[in-house]
Amino acid sequence: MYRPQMPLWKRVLMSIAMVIATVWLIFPIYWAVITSLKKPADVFKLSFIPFVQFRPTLENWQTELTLRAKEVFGGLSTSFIVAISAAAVALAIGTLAGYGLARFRYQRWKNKDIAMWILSQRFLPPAATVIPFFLMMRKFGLIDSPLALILVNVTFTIPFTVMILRDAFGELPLELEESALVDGCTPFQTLVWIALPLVAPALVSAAIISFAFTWNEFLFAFILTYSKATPMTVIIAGTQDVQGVQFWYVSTRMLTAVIPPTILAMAIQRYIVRGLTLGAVKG
Amino acid sequence: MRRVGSPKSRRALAPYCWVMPSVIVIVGVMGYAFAKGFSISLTKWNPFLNPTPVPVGLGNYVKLLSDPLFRHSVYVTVVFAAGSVGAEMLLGMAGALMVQKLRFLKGLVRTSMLIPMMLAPAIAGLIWKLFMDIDFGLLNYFLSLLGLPEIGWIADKTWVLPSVVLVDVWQWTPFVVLILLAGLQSLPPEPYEAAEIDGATRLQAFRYITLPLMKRVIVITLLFRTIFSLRAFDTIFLLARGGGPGQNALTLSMYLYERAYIPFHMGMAATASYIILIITLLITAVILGLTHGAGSTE
Repeated sequence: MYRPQMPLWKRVLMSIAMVIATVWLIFPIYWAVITSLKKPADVFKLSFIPFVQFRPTLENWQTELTLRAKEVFGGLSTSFIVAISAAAVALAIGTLAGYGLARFRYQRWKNKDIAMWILSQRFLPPAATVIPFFLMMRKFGLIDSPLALILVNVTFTIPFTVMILRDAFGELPLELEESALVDGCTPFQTLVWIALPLVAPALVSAAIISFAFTWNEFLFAFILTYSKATPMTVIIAGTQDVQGVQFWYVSTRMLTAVIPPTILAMAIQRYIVRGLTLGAVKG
Repeated sequence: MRRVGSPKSRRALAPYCWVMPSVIVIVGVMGYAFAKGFSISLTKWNPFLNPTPVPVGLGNYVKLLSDPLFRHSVYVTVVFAAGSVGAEMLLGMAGALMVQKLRFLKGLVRTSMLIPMMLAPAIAGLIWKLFMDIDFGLLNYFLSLLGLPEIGWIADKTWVLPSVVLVDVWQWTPFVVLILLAGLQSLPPEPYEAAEIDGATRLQAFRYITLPLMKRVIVITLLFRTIFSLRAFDTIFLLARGGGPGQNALTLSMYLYERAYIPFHMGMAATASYIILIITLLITAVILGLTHGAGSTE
């Protein structure tokens, strides 16, 4: 990289800019953490350093996890069930398609066209399909059912799993699989016993991206559920209407919803760029 | 079939079994929704008042396009997309160049960039709504610390759209930084070495080496952000429900939801969704045309 020595003042300026940018990115989460640890009376005093400026308390968390436990755990369990199921299904069928696209040459439609076609639905505005989805789910009696959310999110996340795995399989050397085929494995056995273990990191990242995407989905969950199957995002968005400016209450709830996808995403940092751009940019 | 990757397989149909499950799900769900949506858009239909849709041909399209509020929402959507994507690309490029030069704590900065991206847009909207509260919000507190006049943020006609753009920029600039950073790190060192020998300035190196080499990545990023900002819903829904003061944050998605879905004008809602799709395709085509198709997937 072309890197003539920068003058000191420029480097200092750049470091300051980086620090400000990082604080700016993390601040909302930090604010949520300290607000969740404040007594309601301290919330509006705008203090930022626990122990020095205010005495932290776990009261809000206690209330949240005892009095309001039913609502919170209901939402969390729906979110987990829907996100895990959707990720599992999308991963299973996406892996098959990814392997197919990486290992066979299609005659009628080109591999690239099939991949593009699977991808293209990611670019439809969700508002464009939400009404037909609502009508479809109403017909099947799936309104307010986790099944509807699983189905919708599988459809949305298939492109992620297909593209991530297609690239991962594409980078494997052919020899291992060829020798397995020569030894009499069927292509499917070759996939399961030879190729899959080798792409384990890609499998994990595809699963996590699907999980995080489903976990964070709001519009369809909002339209397709109203009480039994409302996931965490919808419950939180509803909190503000009931609770007004009870910031401490909103912040505990927000943190419970934010933690799972964030921690998972940090575990797969290396793959995140490739995953989120559907393989268009290699990270 | 015996040989992996052989150009001619003995059983031509077998490879299709691999992609079939994905194709079936996508056709079954998205294909159905897409076709159904179009047929609804040609009718006048309120499922709770008159259960059978009345065919009106292209009537809904004519009605929508002549509705001043709808045209206003097209304008709002374009301003929102142009403002947020423009700011994200500029800040993102600056950020990527700076992070690339970092010698310490690069990992920490990269990790902290995941936080906004992994926050559900609905939750990001909510948290910023609290920050933008006129009386108790942090933003006004900081403004008063700096001796600046307080702002109405999302409660103010002039500020509601910039406020929504601000939140979008907060959430998605890191995405742009990460992608551009990945692009920068894959650039070959040779052109820069040549530039150094020729005595080029850093600015010249950026203009004549980095930008051309990064073109493909930049276009892909631009496309992603444009398409996704045109369809943004969650954040705006939380920050400016009903379009905000003076309907000045009434994007097309919000129009569809508030003006068509909520009053159960299903035909109008479906029509609005098709117009959103057409606008998205048009803008995508314009971007690709301006950049000579540099963003194709391969």
